[in-house]
Amino acid sequence: MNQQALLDGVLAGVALWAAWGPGRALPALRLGAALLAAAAVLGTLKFSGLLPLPELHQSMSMFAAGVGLPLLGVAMVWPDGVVARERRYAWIFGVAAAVMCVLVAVVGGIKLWPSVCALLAVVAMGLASSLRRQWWGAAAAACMLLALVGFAAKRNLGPLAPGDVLHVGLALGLWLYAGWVRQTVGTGALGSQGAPGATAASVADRS
Amino acid sequence: MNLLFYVVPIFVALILLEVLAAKLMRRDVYRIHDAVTSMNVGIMSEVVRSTVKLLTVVIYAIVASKLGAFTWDVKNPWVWILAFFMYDFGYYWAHRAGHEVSLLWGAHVVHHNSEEFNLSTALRQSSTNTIFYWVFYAPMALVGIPVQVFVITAFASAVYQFWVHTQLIDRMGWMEKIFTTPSNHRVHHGKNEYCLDHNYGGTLIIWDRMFGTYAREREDEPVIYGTITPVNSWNPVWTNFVHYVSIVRNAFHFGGWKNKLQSVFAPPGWTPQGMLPHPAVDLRKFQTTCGPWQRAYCVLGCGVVYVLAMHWLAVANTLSVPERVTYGLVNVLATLGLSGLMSHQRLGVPLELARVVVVFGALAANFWFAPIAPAFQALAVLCLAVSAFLLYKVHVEQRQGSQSAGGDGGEVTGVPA
Repeated sequence: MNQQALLDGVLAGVALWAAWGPGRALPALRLGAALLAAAAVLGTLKFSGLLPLPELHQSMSMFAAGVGLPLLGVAMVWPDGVVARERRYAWIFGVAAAVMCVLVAVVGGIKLWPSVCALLAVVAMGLASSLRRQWWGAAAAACMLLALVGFAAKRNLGPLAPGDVLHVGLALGLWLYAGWVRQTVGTGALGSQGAPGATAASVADRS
Repeated sequence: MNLLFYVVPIFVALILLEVLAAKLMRRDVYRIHDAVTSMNVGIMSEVVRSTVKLLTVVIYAIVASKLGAFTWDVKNPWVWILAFFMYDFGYYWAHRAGHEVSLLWGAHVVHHNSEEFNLSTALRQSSTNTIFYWVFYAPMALVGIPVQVFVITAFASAVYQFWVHTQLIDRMGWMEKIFTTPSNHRVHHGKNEYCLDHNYGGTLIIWDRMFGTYAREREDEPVIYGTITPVNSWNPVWTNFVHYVSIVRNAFHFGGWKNKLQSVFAPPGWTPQGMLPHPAVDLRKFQTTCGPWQRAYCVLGCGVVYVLAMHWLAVANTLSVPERVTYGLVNVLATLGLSGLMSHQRLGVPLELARVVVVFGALAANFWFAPIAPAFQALAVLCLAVSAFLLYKVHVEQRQGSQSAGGDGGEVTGVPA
C-alpha cells in the first residue's frame, strides 16, 4: 500500500471513530465526520488500486468539503443549536448544503464553492473556539486550516505530497475536534442546558 | 412529447369507471366539487411542473454526466432494477420529508387537502414539489443512472401510484406486506391520529416497515380523509399556497430569528412552545351548495378544461416559451373560473361567462395557439352556446338559492362525513 492510500486510510479511521464515538453527542459531527470518512474510504480504495472509483471519490470529496466541514463548523460555533444537537436538523442542513454544492459547483461551474465553504467553516470554528478559550477547538481549527491551505498551495511538506498534507491535517484536526467535544460536553461548557438529546422545543424555548 | 399525454386519458377513463362502480356498489366516494377541484389542481400542477420538471431533469443530466461514478448500458436489466429500488427509496424519503418538514409540507399538502379519497385525488398534485423533490433522487445521478432510465422509472412510479387512491378495493393479502396498496395508502391519507405520518412508500411499502412508519388500516376505526387544518376552498391556486402563507405568518409572529428559521424547517404544527396537540378529528366536510345546473356546468367546464390541457400538452413543444406560458395560464384561469363558480363568488358567473366567450370565441375563429380543425371550431361554437345557457341557469339557480336562504347564495356548510 502506498503512502497516499495509507494516509487516506488513517483519515478514514479517525473520521469513522469521530462519527461513531464523540459523534454520539453531536449529530452534526456524526454526519460531517461520516462524509469525511466516506470520501477517505473511497480515496483509500482509489490510491491503493483496490477499487478505483475516481468520480465517486471526487464527488464525495466535494460533499465532504462543502457539507461535512460546514457541519463540523456549525456544531462548534453553535454547539447548543438544533443543527448541532438534533439529527433531523443536521440532515436538513446537510441536504441544503449539498444542494448548494450541486447547483453552484456542478451546475453553475463555480468549482471553488466547496473549498470556500470548507475554509469559511474552519475559520469560523477557529474564531468561535478562540473567543471562548476552548483550546482543543482552536487547535482543531488550526490543523484543518493548515491542511486546507497546504492542499490549496499544492506544496510538498517534506515527504508529504499536498494530498497527504490534507489527509494528515484533517485527521489530526478531527482528533482534536473530538477532544473539544469530550472537554466541552464533559464540563458542560456547551451551555447550561446543552445536554445531549435536548429537544427542538426546549432549545427553541431558550432563544 | 410529454408521457402524460398518453396516460391521462386512461386515468380519466378509470375515474369515470370508478364513479360508475361506486354507484353500482352504492358507495358514496365522489363529490362533484371535490373531484373538479382535484382535476383543476392536477391541470395547474402540470402547467407549472412541465417547465420546472424539465429544469430538474436538466440538473439530473448535468450531475450524472459530471459526477456519475459508473457508465451504465440502458439495455442492462440490472440498471433498471437498481434504478427502481433507488428511486423508490428516494421517493420514500422525499415523501417523508414532505410530511415532516414544514417547507416541504407546503409543497405536498395540496395532495392531502381533499376530504374524499378516490382516483381523482391521485391527480391532485402540487405545483411546487418538483422544486424540492429532485434532491432526493440526486444519488441516482451520482451512481450514473442514465437520465432516460431515471425519467422512465419516475414515470412508472407515478403511474403505479394512481390506482392506490381508491376506497373500492379492500385489503390485498400478501401484497400488503410488500407493495403500497389502496388499503395502506388510505391510512396515509387519513387524519385520524393513528394515520398521521405513516405509510410513505411509493411502490414498495417495505421502506415503511424498515423505518418504523408503517400502520395497518383498522377495521374498527374508519379513515377520515383530509388534513388537520382544512383548507376550506375550491381554489386551486390558494390550495397550492395556503401552507406557505401560514409559514410566512408564523415566521413573522414568532420572536427571534432562530424560531423564525425553525418554523420553516420544523414539522408542521411546531411552535416555540412545542408541538401543537392533535385536535379531535373533525368529521365535517367542506361543502358549498350545488344545484343540478351548476353540477351540469361543472361537468362541461371540467371536460373542456381537460381537453384544452391535453391540447396544451400535445402542442407545448411546438410553442415558444411565452406562448407556452400564456396557454398554460389560460388553462389555469379556466380552473379559477370553475372554482369561483363553485364557491358562489359574487362575480363568479359574469366572469366565467366573459372567460368562455373569449376562449370559445378565439377557438371558433381559429385564433388560437395552434391551428384548430374545422370540426373543433364548430364544436367551440356549440360549447359557447351550451355554456352560456348553463351559466344563465346557474345564475338563476344561485339567485333563487340566495333568496330562499336569505343570503347571497355563497354560504359554506359543513356536512357530516
